[in-house]
Amino acid sequence: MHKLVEELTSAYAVSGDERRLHDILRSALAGITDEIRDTPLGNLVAIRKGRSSDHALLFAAHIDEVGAWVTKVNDKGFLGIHCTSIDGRIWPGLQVMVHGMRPLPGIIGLKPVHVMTHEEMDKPVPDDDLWVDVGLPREEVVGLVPVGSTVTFTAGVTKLMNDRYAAKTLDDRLCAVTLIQALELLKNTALPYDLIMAFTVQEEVTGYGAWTTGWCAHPDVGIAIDVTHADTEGVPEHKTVPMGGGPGITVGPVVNDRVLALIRRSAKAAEVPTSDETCMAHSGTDADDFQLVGPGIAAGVLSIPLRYMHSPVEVADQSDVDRAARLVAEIARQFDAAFIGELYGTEAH
Amino acid sequence: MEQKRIELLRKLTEARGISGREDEVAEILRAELAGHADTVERDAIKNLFVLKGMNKPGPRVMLNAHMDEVGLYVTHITKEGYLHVGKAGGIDDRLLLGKKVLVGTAPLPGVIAAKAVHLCTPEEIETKVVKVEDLVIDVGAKSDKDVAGKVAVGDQVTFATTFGTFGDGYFVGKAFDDRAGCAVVAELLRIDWPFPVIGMFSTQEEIGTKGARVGAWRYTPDISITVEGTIAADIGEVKDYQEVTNLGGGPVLTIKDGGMVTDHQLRKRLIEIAVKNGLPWQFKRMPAGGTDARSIQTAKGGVKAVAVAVPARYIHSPVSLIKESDYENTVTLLTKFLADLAGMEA
Repeated sequence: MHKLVEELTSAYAVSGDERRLHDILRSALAGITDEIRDTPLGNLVAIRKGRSSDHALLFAAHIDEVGAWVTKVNDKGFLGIHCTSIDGRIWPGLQVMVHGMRPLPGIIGLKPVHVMTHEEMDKPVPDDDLWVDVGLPREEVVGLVPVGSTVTFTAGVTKLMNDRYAAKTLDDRLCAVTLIQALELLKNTALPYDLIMAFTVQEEVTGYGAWTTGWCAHPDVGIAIDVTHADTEGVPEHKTVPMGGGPGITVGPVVNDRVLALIRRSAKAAEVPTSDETCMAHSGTDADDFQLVGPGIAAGVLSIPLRYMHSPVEVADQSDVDRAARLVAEIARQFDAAFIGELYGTEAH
Repeated sequence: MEQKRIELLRKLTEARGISGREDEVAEILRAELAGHADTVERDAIKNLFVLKGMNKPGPRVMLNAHMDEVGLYVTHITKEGYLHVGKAGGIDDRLLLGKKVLVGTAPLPGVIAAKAVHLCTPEEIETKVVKVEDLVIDVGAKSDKDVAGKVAVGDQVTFATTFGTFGDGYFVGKAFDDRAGCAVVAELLRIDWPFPVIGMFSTQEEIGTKGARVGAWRYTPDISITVEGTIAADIGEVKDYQEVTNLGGGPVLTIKDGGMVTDHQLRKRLIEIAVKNGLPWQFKRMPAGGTDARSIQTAKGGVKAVAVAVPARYIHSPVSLIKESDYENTVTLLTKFLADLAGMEA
């Protein structure tokens, strides 16, 4: 496991708060990139110069995480929360972090059965009954936790068998790790054109991170790298890709056909096994924005298989990360004049 | 609170032991009380007895807390290497999704699988409780061969929760029910009393106060104090008349719970001692739940029994809270009570 997995997943940055991660990323990128830019929305864009800067290939991993927002401090000093991107059934019994004036550990407990009706017990806990306990008097809580503060899962990587691990926010910090691993692999390789690694904001809420990154960096090709659902007990096989089977490659109208061909031949050259997945109008990744920003960017989507997405115990397999990093590095090597010819050649358009 | 006392709470709550698997807790208590007992022994149901001054005159006093915690156990291993589980003790199924656990004796870290939100229908999320029989634990195995020799059907699964300080004078951890009681009893057993003392750390409380049933038959006291971690519902939007107990309110005295009516004289004396010493105390304000005290009360011809508890939020869940002051006041109240019983100054 790369040491950045622990570092990046342990940091807290709900959509809008991504600058909290910039220091970690900047120090990881030092020595393997030539230039780092911060955009107005907080995207961090790192550039590895090629022999020529006439063309550029961009990979993007989003660095925001899912979380909840504090909506109320009640009479007892407990916090009410609002959240849309997380299965509410996960909160009861969970330790969380509240990000107010300073980080506060919290607990979302459940009422004991003795004060519950049978009817209540047979239903998921309604959102209105989810309260965060920070163990402080109300007066103090009001000062420390302004309404609008974010609430996240708690940091910590649990190592499982087979080089697999569980943590919060492997979606999508694991892909940020992948991009940095790829840069490390390319350390002593001269690249034909510029390689841009973008660490984007707000993917979980708006996609504006990718939109503005696409505009600022205006690459020829923009490939989003995100997580995808890995095989999960009780979920039909056709809805997932195999865990440990290598990165996923998305096929569909969001993905430019020449970019797809580049990805496929790079996977073959790097001897990286892959799984195909499909999308139609939306891939649910930064690629959706790349495709449409400005004059349009030829887009692609790679993914890392992940179980239990948007939970505190997302599970991934390091072998998939290693393979994805090798694939990203190989795509950067193959992004050359011949490919540019293919991309803009009359036959392609 | 002294670091040594906090350390004991940490060790006891982080120890793993569902009903029938209390050995790790017993070993911690045995080591903790080495040199403070005449006899330490375990019986057929694995209760741990710490006997002191059994030949001394005066009433035989039992100090009791249970060692087991609620948790899960492995019921089946799938070909893909997932573990199916059952509940050991009373846990609301809705507390389980997405929690970190420890499996078996190794132990293996694992997670309770929570299907990605994107793969659930809105109807599922809003209306369907995922029952324990539909859950699996993922330890990272690729097949049943990966876990062969490491996990067996029947192995315990405990919540991977670490002990720590929390908020304004709280402790956070798992299993305060009843490791807080074990710690209190251990503290009381370090003191030499002029009457016979039977320390009984019981087993299998969470599945029917079973250890205490046979333990109180083996060593039947005249007076018994069961020390518990009990429900505090002073949380969220729960109405004040439904709080049962509240943190910071002091030791909890039970009049009646789901299993017994406690001894009026002993309870009255406890209140007098609390008032005399300016200690906070509170009644358990809902006649629910049950403790080992019900099994002890009915041993042989009957025993004068009371239950005293440290109030705890979120018991029977992956993570719970107690207040340091409640723990300390419980130890102090019981120390003063026993000293009074002995005619000692304390």
